Amino acid sequence: MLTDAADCWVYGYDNSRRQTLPRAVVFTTTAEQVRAVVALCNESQLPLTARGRGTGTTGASVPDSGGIVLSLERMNRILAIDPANRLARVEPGVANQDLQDALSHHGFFWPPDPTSAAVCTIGGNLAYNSAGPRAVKYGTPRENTLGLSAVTGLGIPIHTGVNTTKGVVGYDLTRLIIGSEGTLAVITEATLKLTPVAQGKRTLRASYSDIHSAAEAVAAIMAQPLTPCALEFMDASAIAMVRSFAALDLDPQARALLMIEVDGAEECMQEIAAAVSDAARVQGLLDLRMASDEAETAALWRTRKALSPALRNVAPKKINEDVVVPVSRMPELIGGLDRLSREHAIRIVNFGHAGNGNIHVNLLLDPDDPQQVASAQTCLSAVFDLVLALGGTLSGEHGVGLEKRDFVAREIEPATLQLMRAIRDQFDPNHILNPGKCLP
Amino acid sequence: MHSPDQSSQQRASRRKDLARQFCRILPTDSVLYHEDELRPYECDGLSAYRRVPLIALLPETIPQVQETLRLCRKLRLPVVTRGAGTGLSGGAVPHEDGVLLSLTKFNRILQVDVANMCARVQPGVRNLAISEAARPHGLYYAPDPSSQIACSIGGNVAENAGGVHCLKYGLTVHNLLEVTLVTIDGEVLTIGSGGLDSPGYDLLALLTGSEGMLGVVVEVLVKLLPVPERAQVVLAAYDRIEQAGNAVAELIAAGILPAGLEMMDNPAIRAAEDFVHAGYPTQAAAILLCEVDGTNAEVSEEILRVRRLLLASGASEVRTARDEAQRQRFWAGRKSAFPAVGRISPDYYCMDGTIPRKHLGQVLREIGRMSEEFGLRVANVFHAGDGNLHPLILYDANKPNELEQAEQLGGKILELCVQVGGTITGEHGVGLEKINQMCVQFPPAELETFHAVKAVFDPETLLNPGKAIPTLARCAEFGAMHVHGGKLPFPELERF
Repeated sequence: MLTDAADCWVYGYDNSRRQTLPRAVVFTTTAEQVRAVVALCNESQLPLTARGRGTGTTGASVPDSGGIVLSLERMNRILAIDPANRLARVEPGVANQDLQDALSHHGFFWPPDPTSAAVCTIGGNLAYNSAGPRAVKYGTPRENTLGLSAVTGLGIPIHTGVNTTKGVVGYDLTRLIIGSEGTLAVITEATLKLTPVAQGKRTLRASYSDIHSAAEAVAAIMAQPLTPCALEFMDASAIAMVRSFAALDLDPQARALLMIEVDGAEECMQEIAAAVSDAARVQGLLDLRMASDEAETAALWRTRKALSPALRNVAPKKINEDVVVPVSRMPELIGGLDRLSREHAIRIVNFGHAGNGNIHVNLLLDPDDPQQVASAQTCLSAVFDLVLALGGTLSGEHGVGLEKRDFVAREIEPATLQLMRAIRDQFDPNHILNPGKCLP
Repeated sequence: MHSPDQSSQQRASRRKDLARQFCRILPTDSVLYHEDELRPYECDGLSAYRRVPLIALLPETIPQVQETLRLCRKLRLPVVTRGAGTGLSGGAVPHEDGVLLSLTKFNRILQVDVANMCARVQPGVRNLAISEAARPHGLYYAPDPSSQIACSIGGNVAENAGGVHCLKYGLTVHNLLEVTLVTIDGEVLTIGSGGLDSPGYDLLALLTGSEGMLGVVVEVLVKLLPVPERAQVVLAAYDRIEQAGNAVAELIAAGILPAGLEMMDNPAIRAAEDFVHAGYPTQAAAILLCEVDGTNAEVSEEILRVRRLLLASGASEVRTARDEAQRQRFWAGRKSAFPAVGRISPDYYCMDGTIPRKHLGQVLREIGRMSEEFGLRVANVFHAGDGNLHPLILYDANKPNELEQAEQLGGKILELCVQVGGTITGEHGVGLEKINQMCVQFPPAELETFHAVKAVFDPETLLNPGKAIPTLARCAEFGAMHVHGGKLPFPELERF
């Protein structure tokens, strides 16, 4: 346990760049300890914020109502890897990448792969339902988790889910807790569903003269039976940024870029790549190329993964949203964002997981410029209205946390919110678990 | 004390009184209250449980459902929602003193959205009708319960139904985007969205499989998938049932993800062969049917790997369907296995326990032993790839005690499933049937959490009361009989 302010300060932070000082930081190593800590907090009505490695982007693990931070980083053991039943049991503090490395020896992987995989923890992935590029084919943590052990706000340990790939017993509490941002229970163990690693993989890059062509290509790719394992999108401003960052050898006319990855049996790769390429060949295609070897593939992905940190370098602050719209509405979304960018004089860079319509909308601004901060807020609000008007949703994978809490009521009707609050009251009647997050 | 005549008279007058009230909010022909009109609703696919409701209501519009539920809440009338009534766990069995709410008139496909690969449908639409409507666009709806020609999508949502292809394509919960729900207060809620995820808690998953206990689903947005280019099935025969069980575990561990992986034991093989002449090897102790789908090249490649693995696992014979006709015949045997078993026994009782796949061999052996102990035949035909067993216990309801014996054997089988780390139901739901076994699978803390969630949606427990989640008192009573002081064999195994 840490109580010195200097030590505690670093645990009051996440990647939203918000920071507040917790009263203490507690490190647990067993589920029993977690139970005891939660029970004690419940008795003394002390807020408790569970924390993995603080890579979240919405402020969900920032302890803004004081109280303690419960760090799960020492609960980082992989308890079992069971290929015959295709499952692994892990503690919440295991880093996503460490798990992937351990699984790869058995020929398996766990599909969720957020950009921060090297650092972020499984517990955090479950708390936010964080996905990543592979979700288009393999789903989000909700689709890839079989069961949980967790401690409710009353300090009661519960076990949810099943060890089997099917099970319809009782309400689905596993999925209810996943994505609840630490407001219902603290996860102490997870049983994860594993997927075999495909032997073959090909990466393609397609550039288009305009966003409408790219969006049409996305719809065409998704409408044929071979679902790519990644289908990433960058708009013109994202391309411009990457250009200044690395030599890309890209058509100067390119206003939209798709990165398409397919996987499957090695023998079938040629055929699969051909089918996907056919679908990607819509009017407006400028260039379509396939990475010829590992090095080229890695280079392509470096560009995509560098986008997020690169944004930090061009503007002192970015408001990073992760909205979702139905795939067919993507051109309207990007067109609308263009318009909002001009109207509010805020630079907006868009990229993301096009296959499921999940676009990371980045508003770039200088926090020391009060005029810009104010227009960014109005602009952001208009962005959310646009997304909802297109039948979309406010958050695809980053969660709500503090950043988006006040916008949630625009999407979710009051009666549904009331239900969510009532569910929360049942799990955590004293509101000690991450109070003020997730729900407005 | 009333005489039976008196009480039936009272019941009839109560029915008339209710009918008058409901006729103010529903068309007259949507209100059924005569005993003979209500008889067809007395049971679902699990016909051992029968009850006649007080009244049956068949609303046609969402406002009618809202008004109906408001009135039920006001009158504190229990409500059991029903789709096509094909459920196998008694989930749609009516409440004697309540309303049976049938959604059969909600039977329209509202939209097939090809660009976004989804379809908006009313809950009474048949499962197969969605795929039929999507087929001209090269799309289909993946979950395919055996009853798909009859069962409704609303029922699929209520039970989180699976099917042969859910091994690769997931259960109902994985293939839903949004549902419209009416609460017991008559409020309309839209849960989920056309997008990938929505903020807040995952209420969509919470509703899926909740067996009509949280609200009434009045509209569903389902995902559609592109139809694969080719599907091919391989049949493997085994001399010993454990070999087949182990082959399943080996296929799965080798990283193969078949579209379907089904197993039948000898009694099931013989029954099916006699019935539809599928061309099965009738001497085999067990057969596996393994289907792979995808592009031409993918399927060819996968078939090669599957054959190699099956031969190495000790199969006495491995056959690949020569053509589409033979593929259909192989599947016809599997899909008609239940009615086929119905021909060799006057009654059967179908279980739905699901176990971690590596225990298949061991559990099948143990079921064989129990079958001998009880003197009742058991045929096994099931979704092996998921570890989802469907033991069919054969009995004759006309023989004294046989039904009770069959139920007892079924209960033992489910307890065995839980002992090896499995669950009492993989896809049929708990309903009335498995409510006692819930006490074996879940300790009080989890059951209390279920009740707490229920209370949020339906504090007066009017929606489908007495189903799916047992009260703690009921468990205490059952536990005293079966669980022996709360101690299970294999205490080291996690029971979830």
